Amino acid sequence: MKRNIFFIMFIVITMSASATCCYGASLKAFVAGEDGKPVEYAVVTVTPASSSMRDSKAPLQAVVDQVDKEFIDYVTAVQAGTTVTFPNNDKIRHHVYSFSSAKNFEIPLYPPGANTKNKILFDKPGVVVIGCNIHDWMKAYVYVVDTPYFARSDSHGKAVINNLPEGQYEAVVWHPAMGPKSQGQKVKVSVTGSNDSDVKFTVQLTQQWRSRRGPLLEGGGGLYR
Amino acid sequence: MIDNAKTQIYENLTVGGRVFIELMNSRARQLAQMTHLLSMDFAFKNAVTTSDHETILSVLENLKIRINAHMVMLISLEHSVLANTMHPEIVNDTVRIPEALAEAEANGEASAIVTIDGKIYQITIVPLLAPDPVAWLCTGFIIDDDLLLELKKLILAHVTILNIKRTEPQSIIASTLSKQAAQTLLKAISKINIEAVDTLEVNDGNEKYVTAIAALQKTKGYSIVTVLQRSLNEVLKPYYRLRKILYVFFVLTLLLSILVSLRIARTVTRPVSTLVDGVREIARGIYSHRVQIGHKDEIGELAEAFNVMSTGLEEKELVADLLGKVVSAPVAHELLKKAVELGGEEREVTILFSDIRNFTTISENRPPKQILTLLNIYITEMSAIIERYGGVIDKYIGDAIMALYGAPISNPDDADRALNSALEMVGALSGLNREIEQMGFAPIDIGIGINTDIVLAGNMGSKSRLNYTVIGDGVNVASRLETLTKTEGFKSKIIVSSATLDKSSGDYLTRSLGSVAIKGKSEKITIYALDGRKSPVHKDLSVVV
Repeated sequence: MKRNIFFIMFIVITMSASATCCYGASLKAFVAGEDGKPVEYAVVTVTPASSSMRDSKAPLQAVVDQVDKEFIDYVTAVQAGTTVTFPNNDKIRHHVYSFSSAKNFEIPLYPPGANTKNKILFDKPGVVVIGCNIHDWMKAYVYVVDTPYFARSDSHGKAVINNLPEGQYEAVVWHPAMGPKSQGQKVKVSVTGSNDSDVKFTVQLTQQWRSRRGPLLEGGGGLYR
Repeated sequence: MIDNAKTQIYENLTVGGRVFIELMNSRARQLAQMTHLLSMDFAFKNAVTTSDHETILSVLENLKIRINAHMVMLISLEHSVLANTMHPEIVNDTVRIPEALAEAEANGEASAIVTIDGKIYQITIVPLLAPDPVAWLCTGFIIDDDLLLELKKLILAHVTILNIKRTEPQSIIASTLSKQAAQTLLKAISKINIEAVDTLEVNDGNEKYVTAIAALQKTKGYSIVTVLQRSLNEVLKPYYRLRKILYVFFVLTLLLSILVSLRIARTVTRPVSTLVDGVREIARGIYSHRVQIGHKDEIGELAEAFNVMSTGLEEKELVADLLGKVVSAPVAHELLKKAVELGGEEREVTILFSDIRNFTTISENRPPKQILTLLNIYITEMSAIIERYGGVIDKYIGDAIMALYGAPISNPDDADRALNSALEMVGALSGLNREIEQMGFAPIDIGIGINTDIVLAGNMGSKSRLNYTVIGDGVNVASRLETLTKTEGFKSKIIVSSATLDKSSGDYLTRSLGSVAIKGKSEKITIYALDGRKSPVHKDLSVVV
């Protein structure tokens, strides 16, 4: 239940943010793998040519939850300057860390519940790989971008960016398992009026090394919550 | 046997080779696990992100100690060596193990056997996950003589690892063999085509090794090979030992059987032959013979029984001998032959009586000792004659001799034997008289009476003391006939009854002396003077029965 509440909260926040600026066009992106199948967890970023348009609407907030010894979500895209909260919704403690150069941080073993110092400000663009020191398999990505226009693909490979003001943009795609062939794919997007644009990305996915999952007990890990 | 052993060794080595590979694989898995564990160390990951070479190096040293590795290196995702415990001073060195690293990139980890700086290592490469890979962690364990010696205990074969890379001089990387044996092996291996041959025999002078080749690292055309060897002698050792034991056993058994034979000889054969000798001695009449066995078994009992028997025989012989002196030999024989019992049997016997005439006159005024000497000389001479003709001396009555022919043993010519005895006794007188005259005695003359009749012969007397003798009228008649020789008119030293003469062969010179009445006899009997023989005495008669 809690998970759903937070998920809805997250959606509400993002939706309200989009609702404030109720003009412009949408960019509908479709991300597929080399085999043509839709790719989830890809982040499509649209960067305006003018840097003034990249300003954020502070204060920005995001949440990366920890449920059943997994990070929720696997991929979270945020604009630089976003404070990400890492709540702990398990019964056990977690030790969140990242050695990524975009954000090297550590929240040493902390218990579930409120009043914990579990907020991290992501101020630099880049990929931040997040792990849990005591659960090797737990892994999440916070993708910090330098633009307010971004979206993450759903299970159908669709990512929709709404309310794009008129102007010139550069669209790129990123995915945690993206191989070198797909790096640096850039698509020029020109938004005029309320005309929606469609963009298609094909990404090369490589094998990712991930530690083995620990045991799931009592049908879905209820033991930990 | 040796071919058999070789086949067996080949089989063992083949199995040993598989075991060796499996052991190495198992060791690789174990090393990989250890390396994985190391890679999960948070502080280590943290240290790696510092990019401080000195710190990373010291962490690697620490990890090296933790798992007793011989080498630890950290390789960047871009394939440059960030830090290496073997070369602490070098930063960003190029990777010398590209194949293994490529394998790790493909599979998430890699285990390989590689040569680094001329030494051979079993290496493991795992990613350092933070939680995405940030670097490759490589650990290495040297494969050296010590390791092979450990493995040798498990696979029971000599293990040698050779570098046979075409481009480099072939060399021994590690071996459980002695240096000399290892060199011999290297020479033998370099001569063969390693891809085509998987077994061979290597002889280093002292030891003969059966050799099998197992690939340790197949990549790059068998550049590193493992050779397993077993010494033929070592394998055959138990067989030789068994053979030795069998030889010893055989000799021991042989000795034992000899001992047993000797013992049997001593306990059975020798006593038996001793007994046989004893029996022969007894057969020869030496009854005094005794056997000494000294055993307490059946043979000992037999020997004892033998001795009892010979004692009995000796006693009987003694008795017989003694008896022979007291009674005549045939009588003694008869007495000994069967149980002595009183009673007799009627049988025809010829009785001879002889007497010295006028013996009282001769012996007058003479000391008894001289008389006894005279008698002994006379009786000895006469007895010898009687016995020579098979006569039996019944008794001596002073100077008289009573002899029997036909008792206890009958001969068909008993009468002839008696007659011839008498003639010879008379004939012996002249010789005897010469001896007697030397003693100072007057010459003696004798008279002999002979009669044949059916008389009772047997043991007479009491149970404790008895005589074998004959009783009957015939005895008295003979005695009377002897007395009649004193009758001047008859002029005969020997008087024989017609009964005797009728039984004889008749081959005698006789004179009828008419019929005489005998006291106690109702009928007169006809008597004859015996003067001599018509023909010489028959040979058979002189044979003593």
